[in-house]
Amino acid sequence: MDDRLRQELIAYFDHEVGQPPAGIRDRVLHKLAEPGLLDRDRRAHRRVRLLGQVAGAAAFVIAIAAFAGLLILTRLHQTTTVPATPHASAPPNAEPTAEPTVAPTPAASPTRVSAAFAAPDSVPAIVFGDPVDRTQKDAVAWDGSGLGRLATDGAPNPAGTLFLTTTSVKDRQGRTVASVAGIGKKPPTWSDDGRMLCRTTPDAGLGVAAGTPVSLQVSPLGGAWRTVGQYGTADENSGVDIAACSTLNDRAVLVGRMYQGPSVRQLWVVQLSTGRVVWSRPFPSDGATVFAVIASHDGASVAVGRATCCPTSGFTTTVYGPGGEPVGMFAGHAGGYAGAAFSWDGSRMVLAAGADETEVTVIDVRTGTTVWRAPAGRKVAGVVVEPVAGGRVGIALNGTGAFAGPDGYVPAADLYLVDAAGRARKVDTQIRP
Amino acid sequence: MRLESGLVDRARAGDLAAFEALVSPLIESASQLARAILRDWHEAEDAVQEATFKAWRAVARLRDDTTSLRPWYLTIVANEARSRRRGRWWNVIRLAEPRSDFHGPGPEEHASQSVDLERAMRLLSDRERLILFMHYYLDLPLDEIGRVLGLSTQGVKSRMYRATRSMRPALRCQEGL
Repeated sequence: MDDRLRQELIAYFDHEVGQPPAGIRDRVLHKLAEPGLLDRDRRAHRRVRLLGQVAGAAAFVIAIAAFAGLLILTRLHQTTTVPATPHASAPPNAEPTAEPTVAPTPAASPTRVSAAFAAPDSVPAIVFGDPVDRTQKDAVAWDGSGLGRLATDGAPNPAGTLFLTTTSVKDRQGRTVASVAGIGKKPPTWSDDGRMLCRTTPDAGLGVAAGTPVSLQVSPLGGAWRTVGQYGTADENSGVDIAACSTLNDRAVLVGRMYQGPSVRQLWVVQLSTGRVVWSRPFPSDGATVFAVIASHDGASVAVGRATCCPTSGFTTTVYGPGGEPVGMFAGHAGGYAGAAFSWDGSRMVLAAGADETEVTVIDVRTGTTVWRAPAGRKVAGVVVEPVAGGRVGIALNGTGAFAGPDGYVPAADLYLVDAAGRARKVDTQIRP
Repeated sequence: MRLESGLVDRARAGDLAAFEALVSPLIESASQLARAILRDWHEAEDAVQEATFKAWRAVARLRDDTTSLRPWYLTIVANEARSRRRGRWWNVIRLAEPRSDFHGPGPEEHASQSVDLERAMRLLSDRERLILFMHYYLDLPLDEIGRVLGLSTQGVKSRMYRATRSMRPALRCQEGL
C-alpha cells in the first residue's frame, strides 16, 4: 500500500504543484543582490541598533507618530462618504435572459506601463499587476483613462488610494500614511470606506485550542483595535473569515469555515457598532456543501455557493437580501461557483455560468435580467468593483479563467469596465489581476 | 545537506555569495512548498523571494551546531507563504475542476481513480496535505517536516498516519483492483 500510495501521491502532487518556472533560482538570487534590498537591510539593522541605544528617544518618536496618525485620521474622516443603498427584495429563482454583448477585440501585444499614474489621490482607481513586469503595480481610473504605474505596494483599499503592507499603510506614491501594529499572519481586511481595518482573531493555526472564541475587531488607521463581538470558534484547522466589513453601513459579514476543502459552516451578518447579530445561517455538514460566500461591500447582499460533494455537482448560488431573505437563485457551472462579485450597491452581480463556464454575464439581481454578456469563450480571472452607488464592475477575462498560466504566473487578461446599464469599455492595456 | 562551516561563517559575517551558495540548492524545493500552500506560482515566487531575504537577514543568528540549513530555510518560506495565503485582493472564488488527467495504472480506471484521490485529498486538512507533500514529494524526513511545521516528529508521524488512514476508504476501490 505504501509504495502504491507514494506513487499516486507523487503523481497527484506532480499535477497539483509541478516544477517551478524556469529561472526561478536565478531570479530570487539576483533580486537578493539588488543594491536596494541590501541597503534596506543595512538600514533595518541600523534602526535596530539605534533603537537599542536610544530607547527613550524612540518612545518620544512613537508618541509624535501617534499624534500625527490621529491628525491624518481626522483629515481622512472629513472627506465625503458614499451612502449605502439597500435594494428591495425580488422573487427567487430568477433566470438570466439573453441581452446585449460586446464583440471581442483583438488584444494588442502587452507593453510595460511606463508613465506614472497622475490622477489626484481623491480619484478612485483600479489597481492591477503590470502585464509585462509582474512586480510593478499599475492603475487606471474607472472611466478607463489615466493609465499609469504606481510607486507603492501592498493591498489596495476599495478606492485604490491607500495600500496595506505588513507594517504600514502607504499612499499611491509609496509614502507611509500610518503604521499598523499587530497584523500577525492573517492580514486585516479594508473596511468599505477605505479608512478602517477589520480583522478576526485568532486565526486558525498551530497552538489554537479547539473552541477558542473568535473576535471581530476594527481599527482606525494607526489606532487601537476595538472588539466588536465574538462569533464562532477557531482551532488548528477552522476559523472565521470576513466577507465584508462596512463602516458605511455599520455591518460585517463573517464566514465560519473549515480550512480543508470547501466547507463553510456558518454565516453571520453583524452590526459593527453594537456587535448584534442581524441575521445568521448555519450550514450543517450533512447538507449540500457550501463552499463560498461573497457579499456586497455593505453586507446588504450575500451570495452563497452550494454544491453536492464528491464528485461535485449541482452548483447553485443563492442571493440573500439585507434581512437574510432569499432574493434569487442562479445555476452554477460544471466546475464551480456562479456568483463572482456584487457591484457596490449590490444591484448587479457578475455570474460565470454555462457548461464550460464561458457564459460570463452581469445580471440585475432583482429581476434576473442580463445587462451585459462577455465575449464568447472568455472566462473570469478577476473582478473589481467601483466604490460608488450605481458604479461599474471591472471584469478581467482571459481564455482559461486561470489564475496561473502554463508558466505558473498570473496570465495577462483583458479588463472590461461594465456600468449598471450594461455599457462596457475595454481598457487599453492588458492586466494581471 | 552538510554545511561547510566556512560557508556558514562567511554568510554570518555578511558574505552574500556564501549565503547564496547555501540557499541556492534549496530554492526550487522551497518554491514548490510555497506553491503547494499558495497554489499560484507568481505568489509562490514572491513568497520565496521575501523569505530568502528574511533568511539572509537572520543567517547571522544561526546556531553554531547547525548541520542542515534546509529545515530552517523551509520554515521561513512556509511561514511567509502562509502569511500571504489569505491576503489576496481579488474577489473571485472558484472550486477546482475535478482532475481528468491523473496518471492511474490503466486507462479504464482513469477517471474514477482521479475523482477518488481528489475526494480523498479534500478530506485532509491543509497541514495533513502539506505533510504528505513534504514527505512524499519533497522527500523530507519526518523530523525536518516537524521543524518546518512546528510539530514534534511524533506529531508528524501521527498526522501522517491519520491522513493515510482517512484516505483509505476513498481509495478502497483502488486497493481492490
